[in-house]
This record gives sequence, C-alpha cells and structure tokens, in this order.
Amino acid sequence: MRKVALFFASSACRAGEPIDVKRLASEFEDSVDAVRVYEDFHDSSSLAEMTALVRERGISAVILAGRSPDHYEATLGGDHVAEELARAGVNPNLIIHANLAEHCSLPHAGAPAGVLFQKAKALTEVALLDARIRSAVEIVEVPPRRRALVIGSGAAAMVAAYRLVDLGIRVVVASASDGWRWSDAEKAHLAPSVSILEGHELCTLAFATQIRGVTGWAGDYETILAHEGATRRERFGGIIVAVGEDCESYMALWPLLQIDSTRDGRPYSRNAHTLSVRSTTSGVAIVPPPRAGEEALPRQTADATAAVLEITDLLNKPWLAHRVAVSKVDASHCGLCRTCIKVCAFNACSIDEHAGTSKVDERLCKACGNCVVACPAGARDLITGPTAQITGAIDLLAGVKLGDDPRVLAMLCAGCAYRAADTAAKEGHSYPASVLPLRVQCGGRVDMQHVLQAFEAGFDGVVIGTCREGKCHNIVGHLYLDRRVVLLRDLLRERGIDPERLQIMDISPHEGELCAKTLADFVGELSGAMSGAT
Amino acid sequence: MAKPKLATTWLTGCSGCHISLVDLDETLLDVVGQVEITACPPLTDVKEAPEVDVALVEGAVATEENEEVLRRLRERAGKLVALGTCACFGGIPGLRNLHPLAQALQRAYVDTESTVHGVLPCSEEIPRLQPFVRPIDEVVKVDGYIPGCPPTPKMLAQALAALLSGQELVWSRRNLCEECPREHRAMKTTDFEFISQNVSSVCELDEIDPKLCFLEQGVPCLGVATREGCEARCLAGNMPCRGCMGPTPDAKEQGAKWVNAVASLLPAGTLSFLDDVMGLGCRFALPASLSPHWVGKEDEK
Ligand code: SF4
Ligand code: SF4
Ligand code: SF4
Ligand code: SF4
Ligand code: SF4
Repeated sequence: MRKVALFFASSACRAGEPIDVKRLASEFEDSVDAVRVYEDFHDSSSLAEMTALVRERGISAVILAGRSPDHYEATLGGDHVAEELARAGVNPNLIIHANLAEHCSLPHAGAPAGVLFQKAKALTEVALLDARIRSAVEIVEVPPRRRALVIGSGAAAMVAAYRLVDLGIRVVVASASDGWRWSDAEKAHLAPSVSILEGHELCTLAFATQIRGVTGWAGDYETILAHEGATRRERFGGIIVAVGEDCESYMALWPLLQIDSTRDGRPYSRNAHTLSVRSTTSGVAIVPPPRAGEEALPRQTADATAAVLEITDLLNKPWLAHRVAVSKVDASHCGLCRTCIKVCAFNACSIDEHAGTSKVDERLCKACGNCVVACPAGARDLITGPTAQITGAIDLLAGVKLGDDPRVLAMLCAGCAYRAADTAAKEGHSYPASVLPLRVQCGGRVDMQHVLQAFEAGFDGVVIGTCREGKCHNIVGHLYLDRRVVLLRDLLRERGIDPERLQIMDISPHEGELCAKTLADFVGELSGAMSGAT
Repeated sequence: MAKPKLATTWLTGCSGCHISLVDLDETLLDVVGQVEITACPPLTDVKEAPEVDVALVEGAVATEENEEVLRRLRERAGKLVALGTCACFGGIPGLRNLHPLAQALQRAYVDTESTVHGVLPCSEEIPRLQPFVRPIDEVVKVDGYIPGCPPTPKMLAQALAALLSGQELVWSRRNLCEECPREHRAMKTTDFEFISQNVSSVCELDEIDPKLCFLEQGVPCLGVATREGCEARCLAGNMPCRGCMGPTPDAKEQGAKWVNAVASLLPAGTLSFLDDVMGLGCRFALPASLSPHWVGKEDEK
C-alpha cells in the first residue's frame, strides 16, 4: 500500500475556534505511516524534517492538514512547500490539503469544541481517502518559451512591453484598438520609451488584432491572433493582461484565459495585498486598473513592472513542471456516443476511429471533469479528482455526527465556491458547523448520482457551490450543472425527496459574506422544514 | 456423462423472457439435447425443481411467495442466473416502488378509471405483496445476469452456451450507441449553438430522420445510458431506445446518468417538455438504483 505522511499545522488549528491538534494527530497514528505536528509548514526546520521523513521512509503521498490550499498559493512563495515536497519525491497530485482553518476552525464561531473536533477529523479522513485513491499525475517538463504576449494598448501595456524587451524577452503587444491609447499627459511622459519600443527588434506591435484562441499552459501557450481577416498562430511562455479600465476587454478575454473578476468588473488578484498582479490562471499576470482617486500613471507603471517580474520569473526557469491532469478514457467502456465531444468546452475530446474509442487531447484538456460526468457509459475518470474519491468522501462525511443541526453536504467548485468559503472564513463570517465541505473541480464535475447518493446516505441537504453565470472557469460547467439539476429535481420529487433540499449556490471567490449567509440560511430553512414536519 | 440439469422459474415478471427462450427456435432443440430441463413453466408442469446445475430466474421479487420460491431454488441450484431486466434490476414491475404500497393497491384495484365497485384483494390464498419490489440479487446470491426486456434469443443462446460449458457470463460494458446504426452529424464537433438552436421539441418535427441519431433531432433516446447487446432493435425500427437493457455496468442509476448526459445534448426546448424524467430514465432499473423507492411520507403522494 502507498505510504502516507500526515502533517498538521497547529497554527491553522488555532486560527479561530481552537481544535485539539495533538489529540487529532493521535487519532491517525495507526492509519498512516508518519504523523507530525508543526507550528507551520514554511519554517525551514519543519520543512527540512518533513522532506527528510519523506525521503527516509519512502513516503509517496503527503497530507498537509492546515490552511486552505488557496491560502498557501495566494502568498509570495506559497508554492515553496509543495515544490520542496515534490523535490523530495512526492508527486504533485499526491500532495493533499485538509483545510482545517478556513473550513473548520474559522467559520464556526461558538461551535462546541467536540463538534469542531469531529469535523476536523472528518476533513482529515477525507484527505486520507484522497491520498490513498488518487493516482500520480504525469509531469512533463516544459522549457518555457522566452516570448510574452502583452494584451492592451495603454500606458501599462507599453511599460510592460518595454521592460520585457529590455530583459531580452521577445514581445507581441496585441490590442483591438488601432494604436496606443493614452492621455496627452501620459504621452508626454512616455514618448521617448515608445519610440525605442517601436523600433526594437524584439517587439512586434499587433494593433487592430483580435485574440481568437488560447490553448496550452504556463510556459507554452498557443494563441490564435486575427488581423484584418487573416489569422496566425503564435506561441508564448507567458501572458500579461494590461487592458486598463476597459472592463469589456476582460469580459471578452474570459472565455480564453478565465481570469476571475470581481463584481465591478475589476480583475481578481490572487491576493489584493501582496500579489495584486497574480491572476487565478497560472502564467497569466494582470495589471489591475487604477482605483478611483488613485493617480493612474504611477500605479499602472508600478503594477506593469511587477507583472513583468511575475512573468519573467517563470520564463527564466530552465523548465516548468506541467501536470498533465487530463481525464482518462477506458476504451472497453466507450460506446462512441460522442457526448463528451459535445460537452467539452475546450474541444479536447475527439474520436479515435482507428482505436474505436474517444480520446483526450492533453494540450486542450483543463481537467474540469464535465465529460467524466456526462459520459453515460462511465468510460471516463479524472486523474486529479477521481470518481471513487468523491463517492468515498460522500459516504465518509455522511457518517459524521455533528450535533442536531441539519447536515448539509456542500460540494464546492474549486474555482469559485471553495474560494468564496475561504473568503467567508477570512472575513470573519460564520455558518453552522454541520455544513460539510467537499471540494470538486467544477460545478460540471457534480454527477447527479452523487447528489442522490448523498441523500441516500443521510444528508438532510445538499448545496452545490458553483461559479456565477458567465464566470465559469470551464465555460459551460455552470450551465450544464443547472440543466442537470432541473431534470434531477424530478427524479428527487418522484421519490419523495423534497427538491428544496438541494440548492445551487452561484458565487464568486470574493463573495465571502454572501457565501456564509447562503449556507446559514439554508441550514435554517432545513431545520424549519424538519421541525415543521415532525 | 449425465447431462447438466437446468431449471427455470418466474417470479414477478410478464413471462416475456420465457417466451424469448422459447423463441430460440431450432437453437432450443440443441439446448434440449444438451441439458435436462427439469422445470420450466411454459414447457413443463413441475412446481418445484429438484437439485439442478443451472437455474434461470425471470422476474423481480415483489411478493412473499416470490422470495420463498427464490430462496428455495437458490438452495438447490449450482448456479443461479438472473434472466431478464426484471430479475436483474427490478424492471417494469419495479415502477410500483414510486408509491407506498397501500396507494399502489388502492390505485390498481379501486381508483382506476375502468374499475367499478373495486375492492382490495384480501384472500389469504393470494401471496402478500412486499412493500417494495427488489431485484433478485437483493435476496440471494446471483452468479450471472442476462439483461434485456426480454433478452434477445441471440443473447440467450450465448448465455446458455457459456453456462453449460461452465464459463462466466460476460457482456459488453459499452453503451448502446456503439451498436446503433444511426449516424452522428452535429455531435462530431463541439458547438454551443447546438444546444440552443436545435429543434425546440419533437412536436415540431415533421418527420424523424431514420438515419440520424435521435438526440440530434431533439428526441429523447435512452441509448446513451443503456448497455449495448440488444442489437439496437428499437432504433432499427425508428423508435428511440427506452433503456430496457439497463444501465451500463459502472452506473449506479440509469436515470441520473442519462440526465448527466442529455442535459448537455438535448436542446432546451426538448428539456422543457420532459415532464416525466423518472419514467424515461428509470423505467427499467429503479429498484436497482440509488434510492430505489419512495422515501417520503405515505400521505404526500
Ligand atoms: S470536458 Fe473538461 S475534463 Fe473533459 S476533456 Fe474537456 S476539458 Fe478535459
Ligand atoms: S461520452 Fe463516454 S462513451 Fe461517449 S464517446 Fe465519450 S468516452 Fe465514449
Ligand atoms: S424482463 Fe421484460 S420480458 Fe422479461 S419478465 Fe420482465 S417485463 Fe417481461
Ligand atoms: S443516442 Fe440513441 S439514436 Fe443516438 S446513437 Fe445512441 S442509441 Fe442511437
Ligand atoms: S433499443 Fe433500447 S429499449 Fe430497445 S431493445 Fe434495445 S435496449 Fe431495449
């Protein structure tokens, strides 16, 4: 059996309501190969001990029971721990997080210690299940292309392009507008640099150009650029989006790059305080528009410079580790019904007529899981979130006893709802501890069988947290979830399961308060319905 | 060497599976030559089979008598095989699971439009109905399954040949579209216009193209979520599949699996006309699905 190490961060267990982390760790002593409790994972002594343990004992899966995976990713150097563990030999798909802070200690102010302990234990057990079931992903080493695409035509785009060519990186500046767009004052400041940039051999200006397609991954993006009716394909290692205040351009870029934005149309930064230029898509940096009252030019040039640093940091690496996280197809099940072709928003599925099975194009697949759910023959599975893991976790969570509140399974899409729940916790909003979170890749990853399973296993309610309309990272995951649920309600009603016990929560990552309120209200409605019924 | 002994029985079904068995025509004569048929309702008048090597069971378990007959047969059979969709998954009789028993009886014996002065059966002689219909593997261990409502004579011939030579029953794990002769056009590419701009409902079709996949024409077809093996006989007759071969082996619930797929395939117009998703998706396999019966309160239905 695969060897698993379980590391706890005690600081995460004190983030809000305290969780007895020593006792929690002792509960797992018999079920894993090593358990350790650290203050946190980052400090060099803990990290050294963790990696040494992994090497000595031949550990192949690691559980980090601490804060949300996003909490780590959204800090400078946040991937450091994961990188070190990977270097010690742990496959990135087998580094698994148990979110004991944002999904347990923080959002349940006033919950009894016993309940929180049970919940923390359950979340760790789900991670352990994950660690046992998941398979390793294939890692391909991509030497990054030392070319960058800058999207925009204002001061920020110009500064970013200038800095890139100055660092010896080839740049294409692409914009739908016919030329540079800036105020006279900006022009006065930037005139000399513009002349240098325009004459620079590393720079290509592509005005009046539309971006029609982006595929691939950080280090190797392939784009389709259209100009006056002709299209050409160009490959870039990284992309900087510097469209300024032009919110419509963000909207237009959404289907291509899936960079999140907030309600008012601003691009969503990974961390508004320290990582304002990091987007939610790897290899894509953003230059947020200046806020009202802010002096535009200094802010824009500073952010453009930071965005350049963000991208060159990637492009200067000898290679980038790309995880091939595709969905896989079992040819012995595939009946060539072509459902997967129709549902995949990224054109990643096609039929291999020769082999008589559907197949997946690794360069196009974003591992959203929509085709896995849609495939009516059960021929597909997702390497980063296998079906057995979801069904196993539902049964496991259903067995947890958490007081008298109605128990709710919250299947949260990794792109939006999971982050919204994190935000809720960080902003200090509370909801009942009887809401049990389960991270899924996308709303489109939620199989209607899983919902039925949850009710059958004893959940009082099910929430499916998904992106807002038009904001789905997988373009159609949200839409197809909605359409599936409409039909599912009939299957519930006919069995005597009140369809109101299933709720869809469409939410964006920044909407923490709304997330907490929706969950709390839902639990309230369920208790009302249950007490009314008895 | 003595010929292997074969017995068949029927529980709650329609005898269609046995008719399919008799439909083997000349092949049946070969079988009769190879085995000793000890009990088989349409052919013999033996109420209780002696010990046999292979027993084929048609029908689901719906009454106390069904359960007893099945258990007794299990004790005396080397291999016990589910014959047909009722035995494998509950089948059509299993649709009663959508109602509490008292209501199902009331409806059947009293409330039906064609009934005058109906009374509920109360004789002690009549086997009592159990609250819910179950596939036979919920009651006894089952060694093999022959799905289909009814299974085609070809499948039966294959199954008998395998059983008599001591092999396991193995069927394709793929879905029916593999066997279906209808062609795909729109489904060859990804195109989101498809879901909004297709025909808005079956009612708007002047005729159904007999060569094109039903789903592409906006007609609900269960074939995507149904196991292959029937040679797509309905499709050949320009009739959409209703799913009688039951779910593909990995699916836990044919209806939900079908919903997963068609929600992204059928145009919105058709979806809004689907007022009986349960009847379409779970017609043949409800008792073998997740949540196999009514769980609400008696008086809510
Ligand atoms: S639907 Fe999603 S998981 Fe499936 S092939 Fe397309 S991108 Fe990959
Ligand atoms: S949906 Fe499944 S069965 Fe249909 S073609 Fe795709 S992989 Fe094959
Ligand atoms: S499976 Fe079909 S043919 Fe066989 S007994 Fe049941 S209803 Fe009749
Ligand atoms: S969905 Fe129905 S009509 Fe279309 S290919 Fe499949 S079985 Fe044939
Ligand atoms: S086409 Fe469908 S309904 Fe018809 S026999 Fe085959 S599986 Fe049964």
